[in-house]
Amino acid sequence: MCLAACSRRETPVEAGNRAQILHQGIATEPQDLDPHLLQFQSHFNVLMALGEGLVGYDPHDLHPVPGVAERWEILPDGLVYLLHLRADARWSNGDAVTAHDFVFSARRLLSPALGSPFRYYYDDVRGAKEYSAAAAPDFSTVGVRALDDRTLRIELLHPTPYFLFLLGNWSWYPVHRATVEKYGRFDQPFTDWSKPGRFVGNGPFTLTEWKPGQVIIVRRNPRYWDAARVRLSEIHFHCIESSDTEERAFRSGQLHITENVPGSKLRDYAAQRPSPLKVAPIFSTYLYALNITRPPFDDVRVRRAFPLALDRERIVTSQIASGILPARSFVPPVAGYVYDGEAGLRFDPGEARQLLAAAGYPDGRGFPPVELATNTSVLHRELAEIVQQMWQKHLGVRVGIASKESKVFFQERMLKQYQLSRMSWIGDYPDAFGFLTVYLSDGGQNTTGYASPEYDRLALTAARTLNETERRARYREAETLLLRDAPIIPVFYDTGRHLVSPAVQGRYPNLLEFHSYQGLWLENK
Amino acid sequence: MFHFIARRLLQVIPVMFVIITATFFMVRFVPGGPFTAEKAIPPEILKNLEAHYGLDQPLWRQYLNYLGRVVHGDLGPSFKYSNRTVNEIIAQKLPTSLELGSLALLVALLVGLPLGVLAAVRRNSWLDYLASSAGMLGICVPTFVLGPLLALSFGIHLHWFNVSGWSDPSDRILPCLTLGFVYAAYIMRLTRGGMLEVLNQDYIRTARAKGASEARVVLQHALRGGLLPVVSFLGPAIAGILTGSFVIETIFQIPGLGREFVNSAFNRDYTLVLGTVILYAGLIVVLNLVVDVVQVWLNPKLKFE
Amino acid sequence: MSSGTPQLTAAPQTPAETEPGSSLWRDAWHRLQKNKLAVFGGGLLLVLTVLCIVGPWFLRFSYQEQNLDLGATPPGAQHWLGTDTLGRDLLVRLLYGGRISLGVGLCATFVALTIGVAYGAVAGYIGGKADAVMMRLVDIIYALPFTIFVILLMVFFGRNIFLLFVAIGAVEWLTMARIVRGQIMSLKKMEFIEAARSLGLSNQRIIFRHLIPNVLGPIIVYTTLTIPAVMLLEAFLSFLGLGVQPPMSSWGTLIKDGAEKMEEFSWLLIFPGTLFSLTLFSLNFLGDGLRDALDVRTAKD
Repeated sequence: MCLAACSRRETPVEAGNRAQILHQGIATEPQDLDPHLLQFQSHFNVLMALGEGLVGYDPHDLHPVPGVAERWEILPDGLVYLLHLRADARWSNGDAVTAHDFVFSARRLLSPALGSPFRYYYDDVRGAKEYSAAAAPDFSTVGVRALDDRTLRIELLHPTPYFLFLLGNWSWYPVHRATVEKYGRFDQPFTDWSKPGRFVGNGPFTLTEWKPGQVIIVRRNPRYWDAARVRLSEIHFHCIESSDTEERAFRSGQLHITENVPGSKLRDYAAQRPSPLKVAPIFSTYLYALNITRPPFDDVRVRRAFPLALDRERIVTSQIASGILPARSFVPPVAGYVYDGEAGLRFDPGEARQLLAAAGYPDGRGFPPVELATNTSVLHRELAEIVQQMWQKHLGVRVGIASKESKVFFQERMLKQYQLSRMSWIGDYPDAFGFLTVYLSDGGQNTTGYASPEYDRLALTAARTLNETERRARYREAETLLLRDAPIIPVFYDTGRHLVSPAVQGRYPNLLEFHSYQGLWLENK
Repeated sequence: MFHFIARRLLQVIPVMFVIITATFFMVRFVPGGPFTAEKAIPPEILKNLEAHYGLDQPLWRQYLNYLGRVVHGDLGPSFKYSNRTVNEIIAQKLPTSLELGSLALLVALLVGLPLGVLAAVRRNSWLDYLASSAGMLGICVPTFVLGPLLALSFGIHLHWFNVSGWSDPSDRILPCLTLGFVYAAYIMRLTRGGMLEVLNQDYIRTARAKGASEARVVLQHALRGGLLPVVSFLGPAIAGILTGSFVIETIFQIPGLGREFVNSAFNRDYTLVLGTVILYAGLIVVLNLVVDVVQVWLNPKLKFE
Repeated sequence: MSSGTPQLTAAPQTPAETEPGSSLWRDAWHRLQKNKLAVFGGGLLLVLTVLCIVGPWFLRFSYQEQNLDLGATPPGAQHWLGTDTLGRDLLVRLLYGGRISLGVGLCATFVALTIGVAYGAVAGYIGGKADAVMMRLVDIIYALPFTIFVILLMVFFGRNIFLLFVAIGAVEWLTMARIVRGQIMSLKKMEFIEAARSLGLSNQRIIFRHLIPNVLGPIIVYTTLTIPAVMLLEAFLSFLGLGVQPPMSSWGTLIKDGAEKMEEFSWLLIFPGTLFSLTLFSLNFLGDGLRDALDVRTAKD
């Protein structure tokens, strides 16, 4: 017995391949599995196993596919959505999933007391903002109504081309009313209903076990309406925070899929044949935000000079990069919209120096010392070191690097106590507005102080235009303005990087890294 | 001795009070709060969350509330792990850290003490040089280098152990060795130093002159005095080792309390910071008391003051 | 070490009393010179220090000069110790890092040493209520959350190299104080101290002239253990924003970096690690030699 065990043990991955048990790394541990109180987008990968929205996402290109709703109608004005729920949708305890469940869930998510950070997914719904601001405490004023058990009617404030996509988001996931109310008020945050043994969901898997700091185990849900298509028997989500440890766990056969890949390991894995390294573009841009309320970046000439002096081509070909592409604009060119306007970002040190000279700093003389703030990670630091050198070389300015503890860093950025600050933006939905919404004058994530009524008008009109061609043209106008006003310095378009065992079948790269488990299986090759 | 211990235990109350008070206000004055995140939370939602946790009350009232709860043994809800209480988290994670810590301590003592004594007794011999160099190496190679090295060689190349996790009994071996070696090095160096100091004392010379066997001299006479520095070091060291090691727990993915010590500060998980500090402070106070008792026992000339 | 040092820490003394002290230190100096390992350690330490200070002036590269096309390369003719992922010369970064690490390691340890020894000795010698209060204060400082303390320091005082010493000094003296106190308590009941007391010597004089020299062994051993801890602590502090900021390097940050890349670019760990270890070994040899040389009892032989 011991001999067999000690000589060459079967790895968890090998055992999992036999029994259809997927071992997936999820880095940080979720604080709660309540879909309305999610913290990190990466935890959606756990929620997708436990719940299902009205629509799901195609694993290749993320277009909305039937979920709990088997079909839907959008009235011609684009303001009213009628969703027809399937008859066989079931909660994991056997109850039917009805339109009333979705109304209850919307009421819960929008209720002021719950304090969900994801209310903005409902911003386009009529009456939602008023309700959650407690200005209209009557939920009947909100445009989410059950016409009968199997028909949900949603009314919007304005046409929203990407609204159907939002319906698949975790914030639109239904929660089981009886269970939620058993452990607290319906709008009480952080109650015990979402713990193992209590959790009732409507997804392809059910919550079996949660070992804090280690693993969350979910098991195939036989009551799921599409259970016949689910081939995995269990998924073990491993919370391994250190990417180095996660990589070692992958290499020793403890994980099928990692959440991250340490930067220094990318090259070695990329060289392997066949390579377990999966690198694919995602809907994300890495950038430096400028505080334009304070000198020297209150001068648009200075703001334009800095991005012009960045040789992005050299950054993306350096050893710290893998698969990333130099940013030509703010919105990554991967979601059907490509910025090809005249303000596209380029490298022109001569023009950069001219602009800086025009601002009163010829060859950087007299330029005040500025500080580039970053939170600590090897990639952020090394990138900051590279751009620091480029700005010094091409502009003659000295930029100090200040690495900061994360919360201090976020707080200072929010309070505009910074000059240059690193930032990554990931779009919530694959539409350019998922990016352009950030720099609206009243945007909650707009930390630059940028406020342009013209930009607001262009971006908002575009977002409400249903005609694709026309919408893209307007996005282009808005982005041109943004790039000219230059409150940000986009650096590169980011990629998703994972190690995936060759045994994993039916998993495809996509822009938001939403990987449903219905079509996934394991096969020894 | 009973009086001594009783008096010391009474001192625990003001000490804990100062620690709790200082920590409570320190964490509150640090920039960023439990809800500060990369994506800023809308102000109205922040308000609701703060109300939920009572953070909207004046600080002094929060402080009094907290003190009141702590007196009843309730450390409050965690901010990060929102549906768990600090008591639950400590109850879940402390046993793991205790197990890791006591095994590592065992390794450290079993390796460090004998090596230290031998090195001192056989001073300037090859044995001393070997042991001293090994001890120095243990200090020069930080855990964040030793841990991955062991994981790579015994986990990945030899396939003997898992490189992460804490479920199989064999998962204990690599982390305990890594953590144990560092402390072994400290203990070895301090034992050697302490022993050298004592071996030159007049009473040892007298014992030797009287013809006592070397083993008897070392074990019965010298060891008592020679262990003093190690014992002083071990008080706080044991408190540290038992409450977990951030580096080791991160490298080997161990669900212990050590990571919470560090992460709770980074997460501004006010209650968890306080909870772990209270636990650690309790251990420090108790262990330093034990150290003082042991010191008297090792040196009968001392009295309990 | 100069023969004047003990007078600085000791109480004001009459010239007549100074005399035996000086000869004690002079004797120690002679004994130290005879200890080959200690001389070797001291010499190596001196060489390393000088290299770190003047070395960068003679090298062609600067610590921040990048060569992105080159990236990380193993040691070669151009770059004797290789380059890091940004194509920077490792040797020059190591030497610059040495300035920081040696400076911080030695100075901060000295701060911690001075506080710890004086505090522990006083507490141990006086005993009673004062000792209880002093040691409970140590317990309290042990327990306060260090990360929070460091962040607060920066919030209130900004970034400042001086703060680095405050932060390190604030934690590293505690164990030293406890060790010294334990030793002093066991020594103060010895006959020679009783004798000194009956001679009417002042407390200060007894502590600094008679007690501390007798516990130098553990002090020196623990000091040699503190220095590496301090150098690595500096890396953690620069992670929090205190300490060296990129692109400047220190041995601590280089080793941390190298550890993450040890499988791909092993030289990034090996060279900083070797230099770090060499320094510690030298310090240790020197420390052991000092201990022997200062041992009052061996002196009697």
